[in-house]
Amino acid sequence: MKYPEALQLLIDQFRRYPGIGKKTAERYALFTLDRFQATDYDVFRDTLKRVQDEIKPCLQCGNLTDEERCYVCSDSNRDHSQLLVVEEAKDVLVIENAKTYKGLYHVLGGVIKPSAGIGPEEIRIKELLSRLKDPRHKEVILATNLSDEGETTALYIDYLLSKTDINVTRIAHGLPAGSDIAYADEITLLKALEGRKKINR
Amino acid sequence: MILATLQLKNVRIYNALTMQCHPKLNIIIGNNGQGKTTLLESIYFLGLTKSHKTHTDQQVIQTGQEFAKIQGVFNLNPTPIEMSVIISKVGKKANYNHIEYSRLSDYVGQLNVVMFAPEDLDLIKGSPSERRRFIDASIGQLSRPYMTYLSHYKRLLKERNDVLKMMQKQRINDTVLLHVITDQMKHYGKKIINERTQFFHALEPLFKRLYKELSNEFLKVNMGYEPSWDGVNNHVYEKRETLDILTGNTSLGPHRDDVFFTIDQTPVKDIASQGQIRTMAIALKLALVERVLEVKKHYPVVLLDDVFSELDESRQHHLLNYLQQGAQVFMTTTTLAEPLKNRITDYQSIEIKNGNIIRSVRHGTTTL
Ligand SMILES: Nc1ncnc2c1ncn2[C@@H]1O[C@H](COP(=O)(O)OP(=O)(O)OP(=O)(O)O)[C@@H](O)[C@H]1O
Ligand SMILES: [Mg+2]
Repeated sequence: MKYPEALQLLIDQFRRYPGIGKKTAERYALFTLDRFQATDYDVFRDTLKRVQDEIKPCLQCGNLTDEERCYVCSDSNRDHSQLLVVEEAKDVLVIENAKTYKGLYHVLGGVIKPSAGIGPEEIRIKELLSRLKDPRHKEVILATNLSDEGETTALYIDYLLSKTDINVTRIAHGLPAGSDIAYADEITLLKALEGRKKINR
Repeated sequence: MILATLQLKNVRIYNALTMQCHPKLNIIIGNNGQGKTTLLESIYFLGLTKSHKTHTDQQVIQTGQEFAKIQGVFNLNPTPIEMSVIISKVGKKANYNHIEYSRLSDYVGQLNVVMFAPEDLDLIKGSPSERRRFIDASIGQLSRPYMTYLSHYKRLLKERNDVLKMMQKQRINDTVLLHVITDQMKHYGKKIINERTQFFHALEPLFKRLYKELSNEFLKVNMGYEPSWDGVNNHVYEKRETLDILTGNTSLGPHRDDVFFTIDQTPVKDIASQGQIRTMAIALKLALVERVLEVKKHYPVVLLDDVFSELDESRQHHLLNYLQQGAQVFMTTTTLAEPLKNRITDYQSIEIKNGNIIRSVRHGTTTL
């Protein structure tokens, strides 16, 4: 099946998205063609343009915002003593949705991965260090993923901060909440055992 | 586990094949290039999700096809179990009882297999990488976390080597980064070294006993693990750092490990005869069979590719008898020699030609 050129180009655009295969991209493109009114096209075009123009990283933490500073950084009720370090802005969204964390964030914009040409200079570690000169920040919580690269990044930052008074913690490895030990895979179980802690009585 | 039915689709010379298997002894007979080894390779692949001979999985896919499928039904009480591996151009998938395993390291180990192949001679006299392949395939099916440790280690080793190369070319000078990645890598390296140490500790006495039984010699043979780094002495490791930066490569660790074989304390490579090397290779594989029995409490499926042609008749018989104490055996041969034929009673002969079974005959009393 050969599509007219413009339609094929639209299909190709949809295919760039994660998790979208050929079939789904075709459905999206045909849906657009089928259902979009003239105004829908305008809204879509304008929205894309606005996203391009207005959304940028927060100057302070790197979270996504349409202002100088994101809503977390500009909220004076947040606990300024804690900085939670994450890989990507989408991690902030996930943690914010849980509504339990009250501190601030720092988005690295990636992880250290020398084999992909990403060293410490390529992610926002320098920015983190300069933020930490503010004496209100007392604790850094390293919440990079528990992958090898996430671990490298966490260990690297931990080392840099070991010579300061900043209290550095790492999110725990372990079993998912509500999970049954009998069904955990061995590596997760071993990690959970390594990360065991005293019960507070 | 006893393989009852093997099914192949697009595996090398096989377009489609269904083979009913004998629970004790299957003798696969055919001329050169007809697909005997491929049958054994397929059973091996089903257990370990790897070929025993090719390094890239895709080579087993029949030329011109998109994928290959290997499927086995195993007689287990009360219900049979089905296992399958699909190899495609982009990767492979493994199923156990219709459950897909996203992590192959969790799948491997459920079907244990030990292959005896002509290439085994390289285990004794070939390069260290052949022996590491043997180590990993063996421990991988005995210890579940091992493969995971190994894949973390390999990934971190690559990262470390890339950092070393950048430092070598003086593009960066970040010793903190080097040390962080080194520590991470050593963390997994130590676990691998521990597993290997334990494995060889258990294998060594089995190997010595089996060599003696097979050879009737009075020579003192020995084998054992030869780690390139002991996993404990951090000082030696740090001392290598300058050298590592200079070469842009990690010089110590499990990726440089080896296994030694000696006769009267002399490395076999220097003194052993062809026959001795062959006997050692067989003793090593038999030791693995026994180790699987010790750890898993059942025999592995034993695959004998062309090993018999090299042995005299009494040894052939001895070996077969020995294996038949409990293991299901698949063996290949170009011709089933009369002397051997006369000594075995309970088996199935399967004649193959150009990727097809042309005749399959059951001999003896065993029923399915
Ligand atoms: N990817 C492939 N696609 C198609 N055919 C293949 C592929 N790989 C190998 N073959 C063919 O399959 C056959 C290999 O069979 P195999 O090695 O199992 O033979 P064999 O019976 O063990 O032979 P021998 O007695 O020489 O050891 C050869 O004829 C080879 O050309
Ligand atoms: Mg062969």
